[in-house]
Formats: sequence, C-alpha cells, structure tokens
Amino acid sequence: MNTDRRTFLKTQAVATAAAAAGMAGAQASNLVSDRSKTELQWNKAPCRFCGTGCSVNVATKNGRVVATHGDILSEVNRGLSCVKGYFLSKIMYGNDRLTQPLLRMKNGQFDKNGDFTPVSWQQAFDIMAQKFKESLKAKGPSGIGMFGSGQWTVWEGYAASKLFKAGFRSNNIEPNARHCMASAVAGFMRTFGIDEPMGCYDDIENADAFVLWGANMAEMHPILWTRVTDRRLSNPHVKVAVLTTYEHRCFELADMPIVFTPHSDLAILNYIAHYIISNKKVNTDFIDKHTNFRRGVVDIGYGLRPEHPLEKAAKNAATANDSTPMTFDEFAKFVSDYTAEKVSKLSGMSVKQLQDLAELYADPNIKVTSFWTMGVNQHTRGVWVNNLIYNIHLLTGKIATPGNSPFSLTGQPSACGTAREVGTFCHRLPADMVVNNPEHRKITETLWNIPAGTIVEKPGFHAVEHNRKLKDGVINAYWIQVNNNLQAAPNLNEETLPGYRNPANFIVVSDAYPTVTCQAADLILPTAMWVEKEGAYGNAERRTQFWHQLVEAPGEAKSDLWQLVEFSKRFSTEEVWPAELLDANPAFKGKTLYDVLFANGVVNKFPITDIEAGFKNHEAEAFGFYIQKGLFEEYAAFGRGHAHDLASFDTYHQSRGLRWPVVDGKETRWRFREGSDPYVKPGKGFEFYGKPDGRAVIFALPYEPPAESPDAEFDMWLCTGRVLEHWHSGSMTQRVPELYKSFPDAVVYMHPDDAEKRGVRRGDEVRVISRRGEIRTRVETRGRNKPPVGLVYVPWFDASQLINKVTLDAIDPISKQTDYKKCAVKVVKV
Amino acid sequence: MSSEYHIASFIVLTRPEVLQAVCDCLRSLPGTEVHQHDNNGKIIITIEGDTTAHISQITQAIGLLDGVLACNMVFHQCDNEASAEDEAIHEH
Amino acid sequence: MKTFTTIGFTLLLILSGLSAVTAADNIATLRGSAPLNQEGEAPPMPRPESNDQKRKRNYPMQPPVIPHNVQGYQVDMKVNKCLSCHARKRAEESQAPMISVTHYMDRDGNFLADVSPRRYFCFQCHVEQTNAKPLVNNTFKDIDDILAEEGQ
Repeated sequence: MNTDRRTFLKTQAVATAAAAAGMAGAQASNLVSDRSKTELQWNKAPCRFCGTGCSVNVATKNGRVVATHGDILSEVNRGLSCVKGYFLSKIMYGNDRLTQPLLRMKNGQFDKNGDFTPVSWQQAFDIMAQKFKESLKAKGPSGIGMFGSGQWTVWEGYAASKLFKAGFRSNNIEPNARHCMASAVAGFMRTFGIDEPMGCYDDIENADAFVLWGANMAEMHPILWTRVTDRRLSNPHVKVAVLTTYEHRCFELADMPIVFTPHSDLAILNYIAHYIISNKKVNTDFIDKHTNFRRGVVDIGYGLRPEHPLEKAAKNAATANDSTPMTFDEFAKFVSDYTAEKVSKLSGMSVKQLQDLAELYADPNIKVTSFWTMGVNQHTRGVWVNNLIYNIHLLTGKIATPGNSPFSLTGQPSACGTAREVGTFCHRLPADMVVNNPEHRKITETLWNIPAGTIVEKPGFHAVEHNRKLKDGVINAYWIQVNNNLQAAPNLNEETLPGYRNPANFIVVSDAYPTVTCQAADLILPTAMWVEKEGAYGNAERRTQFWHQLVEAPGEAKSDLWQLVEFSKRFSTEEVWPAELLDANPAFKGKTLYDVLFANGVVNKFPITDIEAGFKNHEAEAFGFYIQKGLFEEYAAFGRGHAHDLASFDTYHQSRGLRWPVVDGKETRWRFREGSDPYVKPGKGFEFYGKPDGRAVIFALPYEPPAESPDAEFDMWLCTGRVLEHWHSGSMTQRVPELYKSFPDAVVYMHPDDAEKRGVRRGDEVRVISRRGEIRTRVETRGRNKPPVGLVYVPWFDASQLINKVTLDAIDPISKQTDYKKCAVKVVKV
Repeated sequence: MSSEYHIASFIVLTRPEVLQAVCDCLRSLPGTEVHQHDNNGKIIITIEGDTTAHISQITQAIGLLDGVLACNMVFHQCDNEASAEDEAIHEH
Repeated sequence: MKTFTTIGFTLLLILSGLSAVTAADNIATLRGSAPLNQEGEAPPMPRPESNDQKRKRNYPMQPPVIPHNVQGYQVDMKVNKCLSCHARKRAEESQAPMISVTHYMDRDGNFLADVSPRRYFCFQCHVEQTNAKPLVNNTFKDIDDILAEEGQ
C-alpha cells in the first residue's frame, strides 16, 4: 500500500473523530465566500500544444497560473480540452525550470568538455557572440545556423528569420516544422501555388464521409476528433474510413478500418483516381475549367548523403521537383496501370475494401473530407502523396465547398502561423516567397528597409543537412530555440550527436527545461514559455490567435524574442556585411544589427502605452517600445493585398482568432471559391489563384519503393509517433505528475504473434535495433495500438528511450522532410 | 512479516490542567500521533500498527495515564498491504 | 522507477573511454543516468493504480483521473464500458460517480437527453494513473495554497 493511501486513511480517521468530538476539524472545509479572495483573473490563450489551436481560459492569482479550461467562446473547441490541455496550468511549474544561463566551463573558462556552470546573460552573450563572429569570419554566413520551431510565436519566428536572412545574411535557418509539415507545404505549392488548406474545421460539421490518410486524430488532434465523433454519432449516414499501417484508437469510430502495407498509399490513391475515371465519375466541367495535368519526375532518391548507394542510383535526385505537361487522356492511361488486383497485392487491402473506399470519393452525392498528418508528411514520397490526395478531390470537384475538403492537419501550434507563413525555412521568405526568386528578395529588402543584395540567393542547408554539416564541421556556431532536436532528429548516434559534440562547434540551446538537447549543448539559455510572454500562434485552419503575458518567467529566464533582439545588439554591420555592400550603402555604416533590423522606424513605431491596460510585457519594457506590435505590423505588410491578409494587431487581442485572408474585417472560411473567398474574381466559380493561370495541377506520380524495407535480418517495420498524453518530446508533459503517471515510459507496441515468435511476453525488456542504433524498452501487446504482424510502433516522448537513434535519416527529396514512419528493425530479447 | 495495516482514531478526554502533559506522553507512544485538541481537554489521536493487538495495547496504556478520564475509539480500518496492488504484469 | 543507476554500465564506459559526454554534465532530468550515446535499462512496466480512491483535483475544471484499472475496456461505436457504470441511469446501481452535467451539452451549449457524442470517448480527457513515481516534482500551487499564503 502506498503512502498516499495511508495519509488518506489517516485524514479520514482524524476528521471522523473530530466530528464526533464536536471540534472544528482541521479538515473541515470552510467556504471562502469573500469575493475579493476567490475572484480569479481569467484571460484567453491558445493551447501550447498541437496544431488544432484550441483556445483555453487561463486563471491567474498572485502572479501564478492556478487553473485552465477549454474556452467556451472558441469556435475551435467550444469549451473542451484534451487531457494535456486541461493540465496546461502545470507545465510551467516543473521544479527543474532553468533560471540562469549555463556554460560548460573548466577553470573559469569555456571548455567544450567542462561542466555546466551558471553565468550572467552578459557572459553568455559574450562567448556566444565571440563564437558566432569567429565562425562568420572563418566560413562566412554558411558557417552559422539556427534551428527553431513551429512553437515559436509569430514575432519570434519573424525576428529570427530577419536576424539570420537579413542580419547575418545566412539562410541556414530552419524550423523543426521541416520534420513535420514540409511535405504538406511542397504539396500545396506544387498543386495550388499557395500554402495551407483551402477549407477549415467547419468542414467537419458538413461532411458525409471522413477519410484519414495517416492521421491518428483520436490521439494527436483529440479535439478535432471530438468534432468528427459528434458528426458521425449524431448523423448515422456519415461514414468514417481510417487508413493506417497499424490499428489505433481511430478504429473505435471507423466504419472502414483499413490497415495497409507501408508506402502503398501511393498506389491506393492512384487506384482511386483510376476508379473515378473508369467509372465515369470525373467532374469534367470542373477539371476543364480549373485544372491542368502534369507528369512529375520519377526516380528521385531518398535525400541520403550523396555517397549513399541509393543516392548514386537515383537518376533525378537533382531535379526531383520538375514536371512536364500532359493531357487528361495520358493521365487516365497512367493511372489505369493501378488496377484493383495489382493494388490489392501491394497494399494488403481487399479488392472490396478498395472499391468501397474509392466509391466514397466517386459518388457525387457524398461530401468527403480527407485528413492527414504525419503518416503522409513523414514519408520519403510525402509530397507525392499530398499531390495524389488533391488529385482525387480535384477530379471530382470535391474541394473548397463546405464538407468537401482535402485537409492537411498540422502537428505544432504555430507550424502554420510561424514556420510556414513567416517563412522560417532555409528557402522561404514571408507570405510564401522564396530566397532564390530575385523579385521576392527585392520585395523583402524593400519592406525590411535593407540594401538591395543583402539577402543571399542560395537557399541554406535544410534541417537534416544541418546535422550532417555540423558533424562535418561546415557549420560551427549553432543556435536552437523552442525544440528538442536531439530527441527528434533522425539517426542520432551517427549524425546529430557527433555534430553537436564536434569539438569545432559551439552549440547554444534556449529552453525552459534541461532537455537532452541542453545536455548536448555548450551554452544553455533559460527561456520564458507560453503565457510568460505575449504571443501569437496560427493553427491548421489559418486561424491567427494572440495572448497576453499573464505571469512572470522564473529567475532570469527570458523569452526567445528578447534573446534574439538583445543578441542582435552584439553585431555591427561592418562585422557581418561585406565592405562592397556598405560602401554602396554608407547609411548603414557604424550601425548595429539591432539598429538596422529592429530600431528601424517600423518595428519601434508603437509606444508602450499601446499595450492593453493591466498587462505586463517584459520585452516591450526591455526595449522601450511595443516590439510585438511593431514586428507583427511590419510582417503583416507582406501578406496584405496578396491573399495572406492579416487583421490589425489589436483586433487579435479581442477576438478568438481569425482565419486569413481577413479582408474588410471579414475572415475567410473557404478559399478559392467565388462568394466565399474575396480573391476569386466574379464569374470564375472557382479560382486557384496561387497559379498564374488560376488552375490547380493534377499530377501523374507513380508508386516507388521506400528507402528501407524489412529483410531477413532486420525483419520488421518501425513506425514512430506520439501518444495522447504527451506533447512531442515530453519536456513539458512529462513534468506534469498526472500526465507522467498516466504514460510514464515508452513501450514497443507489437503483435502477440511477433512477441511469441521472439520468446517475449508483455512487460519483457527488449532491444529495438536498426542498422544505426538501438533502444531498450518493454513489450506491449495489448495496449491502444495494435500493429499487424511485422510492424512495431514506438512513441518518441521518452528521453530515456531515444528511438531517434534507430530511425533513418532518409527524407523526401522534394520537401526534405524526414520519414519517421518507416525503417527496418529487429526486436531482440534482453 | 504482517501484511496488514491498521489505523484507528480516538477521542481522549483529560482534565484541562494536565492536557499538555498528557499530549507529550501520547506522542511518545509507538505509532501514535496527536492531531488536535481543544481547551476543554479533548484530544484527537490516531494509532497505526500491524495488528489489532498493537492498537488495543496502546489504548490500554492510555487509559492508565494520569489525568485521562476516557479514551474512545471512533474509527478503525484494517487494510491489506497488497490490496492496492493488483494484477501481475504478464499475460497468462 | 526510472531513476536507476546502471553502475556496471557506467563503469564499462569509463573503462572503455567511450563516453561522448562526461558524467558530471548529466543535467537531463528526464533521462536517468545513461550517457546520450548509450541506452540504459528500460524500467519495469508500471502497474495501474486501482484503489478507487478519489484524487484531489488541481482546480474544479480539471477532469478527474481514473482511479481504477481500465485495461481492455471496450469504448467504440457499439459499446462504452465506462458508461456502463458512470452513466446517469447506472450510477445508482454501480455507486460510481455520474458523469458531469457538462457532458450532456452539445457544441452550442444545449442540454441533450443523453451524453453528448462530442464527449463520447472518455480517455481523451480522463486518464489512468500508474504507480510510476514522477521524475520531477511540480511546484504548481492550487488556489487554496495561494489564498492561505495570502492570509499569512
């Protein structure tokens, strides 16, 4: 019996005796009725976790968060939260919060092999600036790098991107959204020429059928799943199809539960296109007016290191994104190869299952919403799968109308709002612009008021390349904010860890807690989180949401924004820009990057008095102007009038978020459709205005095999992912006792027959081994996930079981996104 | 080793002038805790132990203390130590 | 328990000089003692706490955790095992707490005759607790703690 139970019994015993004795028991509860004492300060904030973007109400009292619950006024969640959301109150209060900068030191000096020693911010920035300057001097802008995230607030991502792309003239800045949403972005850009979903969550209440293509919404987007559940259970005609490579909780609501062979989604989607065409269910009017057909380049490799045999064998790795026009008839012929019988063999689905699934799309009377997340995006052909899903919606015209929606969900709270819309990728600029387009650079340089030629044309290294380049000593000074990449990046032992610990490199990590990434760092910066700062996030349905600073960060912890802007003061233009650039633009001589980027007359335009009464704002107080407002308004100028319109800064503090484009004060629920989207010209009906001719692209793309498949030795598929109770690497949720106790350690989910074959039972310790590394974990044969024979599932939230040692650093060659869902492993009893 | 856990609570009645002295004595008894008392000489205590015998021995000892007028049990619960731990981990 | 120390393991590392990071810099509180380039023993599987004792909630809106084992509970379109005890019509017989009144409200705040489908999958908010000991303490203070501090 545990001590809690004893304490409980004792309390009860004492209370009973006190009551019997007629004594006012210590346990007797007196209602505190003094309203001034029980009154709480309630404010809204978006949830800190997934891309759903629920709004929560946060109660504060005496400078501390004391309660959180789902916001009844929020259209997204209408008063609900998932279990993580309900425990948001506790995420900031783990007792190991970082409160001081820590530097590896020996004998009072920085030493790569020294112990972490508390230093002042002054000392921290001294050594950090020295290391960045040394790297810039030795290697130029490509010698430094930054890895941020889809959990940066909008203005933090914007400030980081500006500091790197304009200040340091380095495009080596990436968000962890590269691991998460890059395939979705490339999919949108290829098919529509503009990023992010055309529909919105209101599709859920309008759809007749839902098809999940690699999204375990029941665990990863629980509140959206409550909306799907509501729709399905309230309306018996609604159907739910769940396609996945292993059985998970979504099967509880599935009318069509489907387990398919990994990677065969490419073939299944082509079969559906073939079914639609051969059964004459094509919406010919729609495709004639609104689409083009193109044939994509094939044999594009797997984004491994160039010397890898698979890369040497790939014919078109360098031109992976290319395509050529084709006709509808040629497309019909291309997909006719994907017969039910052939695809049944490839996918493991029955012919009947394939037909039933295809009929959902083909039947003109069924409104279909397709959802997908990491099962599609973390895929070495993830961009193709995105394109192929759009194909079947475009062929049937089931798009951009309520309920008809190909809907790419996001994983992080601001993967859309920050990583994608701000453009914190190594090739992007705000509002879907890219660095290698001279026109886009010119627009950006003008809005940033920096000299022409400041932004470098060549895209920087992508996320997986960062780690390769750190290992190879090409990048030497590196800053990580708001993510735990040592627990996330693939092939940890061979690439990431040697990269971080390379003696030539200086690694800085900003975090609220001592994560494994902090442990691999040289300098740790203590960081404010969530409502300890003013912020903005953008969710998966284009909804931008703001929150105020509600409490103070502990100790000397500072927000990422403060860190970025304060650090910019350490660099003069002479130190980072070439003499020719300064000679041609002498007005920029003798200035710091802070002067050029932030005290530029735009970002510092709004006074502190603009801050809503009653709210603190640490960054505004530190810099002397309302920096969040200035950054936001400068950034918003990129999208206004260009189909990415954001409302004014102050509007967002009052609303529960608005879905862009916000034109004349009105948000847009469905884009690309006349009457709903103000950017569609009258008389067009539909217009995919991201493309110059207003037409979306239907792509012919084949099935190609995955980078690594099970063989005689490594005989099982490994799929990785999350669990409901933990957010990403668990650095916040593992510190909430209730969440920790609900799911404390990672396990390997496995079919009972596979366990028996290996002589192990539930609870036994095993090693999960790939060609790259291994973990030790425990067998779970009867949990929530039920893999088929031949596949195992391991979640990645557990810092003591680094499954990213096992995963493969193969990527989609177009999007550069890692495939965390497929590699070959063996499972061995310890 | 016993696998049982006993907990009992009592109201001890004393003469008010010896209340503090009685409390000190009570605190020295094994497994005994004093939780609260009032000015009229009422004291709330708990006794924990492995067996019923332990509880009754202590109760008798209290009854013999100078100044104690009465010692009445209000609550007694016995818990099996293993009862809260259920289920083996392995499938059988 | 996850705060294990694998003494033999660490010794082996020191002897072979394999350790990529020194032992003294072990700051990752959620990781135990294994160096980053090694993997330690997996802790035994924890067991669900199943004593039916209610736990104090951190605030009134917090969904209560589940104080009993729910392994193998069927909750799908056909059956909801949780509701077989916690539904309004079953609570008298089972003496289990009835699900809260909020669970009868639809998205627009109207009361329905039965549980709202949006609240149907219980485990999205209510989770089991295992006997695992948290690796890190949490210093969250509830409103009563704060009022008590204020009163002093």
